[in-house]
Order: sequence, then C-alpha cells, then structure tokens
Amino acid sequence: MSILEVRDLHATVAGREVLHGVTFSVEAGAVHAIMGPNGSGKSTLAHALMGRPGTLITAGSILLDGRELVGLPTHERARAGLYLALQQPLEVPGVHLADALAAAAGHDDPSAIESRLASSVQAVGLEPKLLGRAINVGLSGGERKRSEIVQLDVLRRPVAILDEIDSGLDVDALAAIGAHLSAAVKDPSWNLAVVAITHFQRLLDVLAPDVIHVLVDGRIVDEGGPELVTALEADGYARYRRPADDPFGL
Amino acid sequence: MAPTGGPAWFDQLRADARAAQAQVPVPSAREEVWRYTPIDDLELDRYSLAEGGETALVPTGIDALVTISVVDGRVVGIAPTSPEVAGLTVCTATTGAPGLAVVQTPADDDHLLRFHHGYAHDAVVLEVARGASIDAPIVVHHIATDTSHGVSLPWLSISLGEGSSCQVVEVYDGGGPSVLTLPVTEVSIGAGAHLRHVALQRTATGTWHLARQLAQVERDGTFESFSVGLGASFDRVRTDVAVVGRGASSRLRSVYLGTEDQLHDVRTIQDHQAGHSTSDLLCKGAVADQARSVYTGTIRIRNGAIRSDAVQNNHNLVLGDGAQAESVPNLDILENDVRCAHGSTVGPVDEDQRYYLESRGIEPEVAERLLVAGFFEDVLDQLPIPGVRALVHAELAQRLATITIGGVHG
Repeated sequence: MSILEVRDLHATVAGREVLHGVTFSVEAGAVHAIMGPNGSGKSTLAHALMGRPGTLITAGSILLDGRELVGLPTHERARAGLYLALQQPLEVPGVHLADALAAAAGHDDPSAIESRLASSVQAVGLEPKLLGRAINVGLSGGERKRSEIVQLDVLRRPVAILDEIDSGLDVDALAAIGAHLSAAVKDPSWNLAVVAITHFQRLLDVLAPDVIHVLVDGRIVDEGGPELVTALEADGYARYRRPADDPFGL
Repeated sequence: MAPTGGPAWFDQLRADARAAQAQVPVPSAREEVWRYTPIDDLELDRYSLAEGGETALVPTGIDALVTISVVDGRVVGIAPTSPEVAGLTVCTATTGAPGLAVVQTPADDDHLLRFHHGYAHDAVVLEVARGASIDAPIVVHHIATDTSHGVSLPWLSISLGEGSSCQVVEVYDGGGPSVLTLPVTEVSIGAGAHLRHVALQRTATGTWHLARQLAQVERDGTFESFSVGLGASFDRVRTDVAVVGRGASSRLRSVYLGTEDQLHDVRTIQDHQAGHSTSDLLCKGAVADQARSVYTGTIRIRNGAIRSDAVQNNHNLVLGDGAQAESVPNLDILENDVRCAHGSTVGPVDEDQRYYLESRGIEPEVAERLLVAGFFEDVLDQLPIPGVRALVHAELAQRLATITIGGVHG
C-alpha cells in the first residue's frame, strides 16, 4: 500500500519562488483534490513532484513509501510509482504510443502491452484507430486527456497526479473517466491513489474526493472534506487571500 | 591514365570533358558550393582509377526486378542475366548504348564533374520506352573497392520516354580509408513520365563520397528523389533538378545521420525554367558525436516561369555539444507571379517532449532515441519506392542504436 507524503515543499521557476512550503499526503485507495485559483501554483506543484527541468525544488521532501524522490530524475520518480497526467499533453511526432509505453514499462517489445492498451482504450472510449498514430498527433484536447488515462492504465502506477484532467472533456467523457478512475481506486489489486488538481467542481462530482486541499499563493491554506467544495463554489478563494495580495479588494 | 574503348561518341565525350576540365579551377572551399567542407584537402593528383579487383558481391537486401552490379564503375553482373522487361533497355555506354540521357549541365559546373566524365570507364544506361510502366525496383549496386587512393567513377544514365514510369534504386557500398567515389546520376524525364529514384549511401568509414545528381524534367513529368546518407566520412550529394517543361514537378527528399566525425553535405538546386511547375524539397538530418552537416539549397525561378510553386525545408537535430549543423536556404526569384516557401531549423530534441516521455518512466537516453527516430518518421513515410522502406528503416535504426546520447553510447 503506497503513501505519498509531501512535506514543506518549496519550489522556484525562473528564479521566483512559486511554492512556499506545501504539505499534504495521500494514501493508496484515496482520492484527494487540490483546488485553487489560477496562478496559485497548482501546475508548478505537479511538475515539482514529477521533476520537470526548470522547476527547482529548494527545500522540502517528497516521500513515496518513505523513499525520497527529491533529487531523482523524472523517469526514476515515474518508476518509483508517480504518474502525471499533463494539463496540456503535447504532440510527440513520430513516436508511437505503444512503443513509448513498452519502453516506459521496461519492455523492448510493444506486443507485451498491447492487450492492456486495447482494453483500456475501449474502457475510456478512445477510438482504437488513434493508437496507430504518433502520441497525441492529430488528437483533440479531449482525446488527449483520455489518452493520458489510457497510459496510466497501462503503466498502473500507484499514485496518479491529474493536472486539470477535466479540461477539454465533455460531460459524458468526464463521467466515463471519473467512473474508470474510481474503479481503479477501489480495485484491490491496484488501490490507485489520486491527486486531482482542478479549479472546477465538476470533476469532483464524478470523482468523489475524500480530502480537499486548498492551494492559494503557493501554500495549502485549508483542508477538509467534500463540504469544502460547496463552500468554494459559493464563495471562491477571496477569503484565503492576504490583503497584500489583493490591494484593490477584488 | 585516361581509359579508352567503346564507341567513338563515348571516347569523344570523354576527351571533350578532359579538355573542359583543364579550363575550370579545382574546387575550393572559398566557393559557396564547397563552403564548410574540407575540399581543400583533396589532392586529386594523388588518386588513380580504381580497377575493380576481386570483390564479393553482397546482396543489397532489395527485392529487385533487375540488379546491376557495378564495381568501380564497371558493370560486373546483371541479374537476371538478360532481363526481359517490356519497355526496358539495360546496357552500358561501351556495350551498345546509342547515347546518354540528355541533361543540361549547370552553368557553374565544376572540375570534378568534368573529371568524372573524362575518366569514367563506362556508364550504365537505363532506357524506358515511351508509355512503358515498370513498377518494381531496378537496382544499381555500386561497389567501390578498398583501394588505397583509388577513385571510383560510377555513372548512371536514366532516360524515360514520354508517359513512361520507372523505379530505380542506387545502393553505394564498399569504400575505405582513402577511397574517393564520384558517382554521377543523369536523369532525363520525358513529357508526362514519372521516375521514382532512391539513393542509399552506406560506404565504409574514411570514404569520400561526392555525388552528383542531374535531372531534367519535361512537360508534366515528375521526378521523385530520395537520398539516404549514412556511410562515408565525407558524404556529399549535390542534386540539380531543372524543370524545363510546363507543369513539370520534382519532389526531393533526403535524410542523413552523422556519427563520429562524419560530414554530410547536401546541396540542392530547384531550377524552375518553365511555368506552372512545382518543386517540393524536404531534407532532414541528425548529427551526433563530432559529426557535422551542411545543407544549402537554392530555389531558382527564371524569367517566364510564372505560377511556379516551390517549397524547400531543412530540419536538423543536433545531438550533443560536439556536433554541428549548418542550414542555408536561398531564393533566387526572377518572376513575380510565383509561390515560394522555405524553412529551416537547427536544434536539439524538444525538451518538453523528452520530459513528457520521461514522465512515463522512460530513461532519458531511450526517450531521446525514440524522439530522434520519430523525427525521421514523417520523411521516411514518403519513400517513393515501397520495396525499400523496410531496408532504409532498418539501416537507419541500426545506426541510431549506436549514437552517443548524453554520454551514453548505444
């Protein structure tokens, strides 16, 4: 059973500190949401966890089952158990999904993962013919998001960070992906832990998070159960902001 | 050392070329067409004609209609022995060919082309009759023997009669540490005819392979050319395509992969001499280790070539601090009512793409190899002869597996 513990994480991008000490933890079989307004550091947090070049961790700790991930290269964090579904999955011309997933799973031969790929594609409602293309090339925004979930499925990493997975998805696609992820969370052979980063409620309606963390200006400023989502929808994030951040009282 | 033999017209052609050679200076890196190259190191006087000793013929790996084996510019075998393909004539200048393909010689033509024509033993001549359609590859397999300071002068002449079509693959093998090969391919495409041509260069390290391709395309004819530069230490291909008839088109593709201290040098001229003609060039290369590449190309649209449509793109991956790529596209447009587009890029693999692959759990060097292979995918998909796709893919993949990435040797 996996547990991801993030402790007092500080990170800078282009010399500017964006995360000022983020602490939270999520255990196997749980769904956590990180909510926050635009510019609060949500995507920086996702990339800091995954180790993107240019996102520099200056202090703090990322422990996966007690193993320190800070300082490890991205692929080792992935192999240790982290998966990041990108907010804007990019095109990778000429590189086919099956080949990349085989390499990611440590196989030389794409046929090793083909059956898992085929069944997952069906489950999330992606057109099977899209698998014949290079990664994300010619896919719509919604198809790319589904592909991110397919890749998670095939790789079966224990902890999934989903950065705005709901953007670009229509209601039906969102419901399908939500149901699929919920099943992975409950699946006793997987016990997926989900960290869903979002600023919309609609994902949380289908994912039913156990814990909500509110990220404002690079800090976790509040935590609570699902009731927090309702409060945020009604009142927004203004009450979390320090006056200095909002000089015009907006 | 000038060879003789064969019909009088061929001897005369060679004598004229030798006389003309004396009129033009030896190539120099001060000339734009040789810029960035070590051509000043070439001491042509030190070379003698390679005589084609005993050479084991290795299979090309291509399922061919006809395979013509040429060692140091001399035909040593044709298989099947007497190919009976309707509309195809296979012969050589010294064994019965009535003449060679008629192509324009570019105004700036150099010493080496004249040297080649002056001293070549023979020329392979392929003629496709008017209206004939040949849908399987004719393979010309050039082998340069590993002769110290030997120069090999392969010569292929291809003529397509009106409305005909044909597929020709040239494979260059052999070579060695002080071998010079100066292959020349001359192509004449008649009205409405269509030639698909692939050149695969995989000669040994040390070889200087300085190739010329000269093509002339008549009204509504099409020249599709695909060059693959993998071997040699100095690999140069200069391609001049003159579209001389209204509605004629050319589609040029080339790829190169540089490793160790190779130099790949691609020069192209898309010469529009007639209106409503099109030319489309895409050249992609990657350099690793201490390798270098040069692409320079010119789109020339002459007076009167209205409604010409020309595209020229060159993209380069530079895979390491020791590698280097030069890309110099040029336009020489003398007509207004035309469409021209060109683009060029030089740089490393995309950092975001690599991060994306790494975030899936792929090691950085594996991710980079996938991205480099992926970079070539679109152009390889455009190989005009389906029968060589698997071979070219395999040759490229084999070399990609050996390049050094981030200090890690494959």
